Amino acid sequence: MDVEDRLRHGLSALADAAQLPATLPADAVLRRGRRRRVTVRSSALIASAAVVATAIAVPLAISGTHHTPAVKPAVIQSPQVLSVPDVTLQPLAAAIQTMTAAGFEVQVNRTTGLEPLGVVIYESPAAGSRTTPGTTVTLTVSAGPASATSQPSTTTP
Amino acid sequence: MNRRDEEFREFVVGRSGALLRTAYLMTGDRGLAEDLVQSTLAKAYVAWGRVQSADNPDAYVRRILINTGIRAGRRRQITEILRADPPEAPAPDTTAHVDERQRLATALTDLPPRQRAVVVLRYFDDLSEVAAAEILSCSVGTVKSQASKALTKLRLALGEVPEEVHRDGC
Repeated sequence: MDVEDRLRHGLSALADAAQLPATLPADAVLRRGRRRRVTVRSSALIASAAVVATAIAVPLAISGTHHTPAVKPAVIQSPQVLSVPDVTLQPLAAAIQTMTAAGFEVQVNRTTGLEPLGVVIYESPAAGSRTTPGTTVTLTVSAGPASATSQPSTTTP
Repeated sequence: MNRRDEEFREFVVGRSGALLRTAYLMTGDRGLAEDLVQSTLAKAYVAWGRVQSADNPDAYVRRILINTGIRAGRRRQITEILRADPPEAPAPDTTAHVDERQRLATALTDLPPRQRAVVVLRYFDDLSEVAAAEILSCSVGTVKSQASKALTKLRLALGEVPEEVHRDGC
């Protein structure tokens, strides 16, 4: 028996011995896929918005790989109607995690406001609304105060 | 649930078991294998249109799996070299065929990720050199040379064929 035949036998014996599950849980895999899709899409969106790019993309990239979703899959148990979680005043990355974990698609807008840069100001449909899974929730994110880039000068030159 | 999600779920139910076996041989660890398949499928979900319109969706996803696995393997190589005393050192087995399996598992772990991928594609998934080259996006010559390097190492690691072990009961 040459090494190639030993490999053919050996590899399938090795895979058999691991007693791997016959399939992965489709729901969990699907949630992870949706989460990744949103992250990929909103990263692209954010990259195009030069002003807030670095402030938001960095936490997003970090959370994309390390954080576990804050919301337990329990929310997904009634498949017809879900209640939109409240993510206002949360940083965008955390808000996206929460929304996708709860089964919603996310779209991001931004506007100037007094809230700190990168936190969610409104969500539409509003928190607590009952809606179907997969609905796109639009998150409006603070781009910081309008005056941040053009500070009124308090001293005369 | 939309159409994309339905098709994707069907694919997960039908194919994740087979992907998991390949991933296990790529990583040598159940947890890492599950993680590899999960991230592969998440990538496939994002590119679902391309997966579905591919001539062979299964091969397309397998390609994501192998290439993600190779990259992850390279990252792991760096971190694991730093460990002086691997905690997962196998306890010696009493039966000869289990011992052969263990030697193979250890020998695979010692292969660089791409050689390991070639071995898995050629001898577990039973792909031709051409098909393996396509998945790895390299030339057939590279598959041949990587396979030959890997086989040399494996031949050494597995040692002489224990004839009496393989022949018993046959």
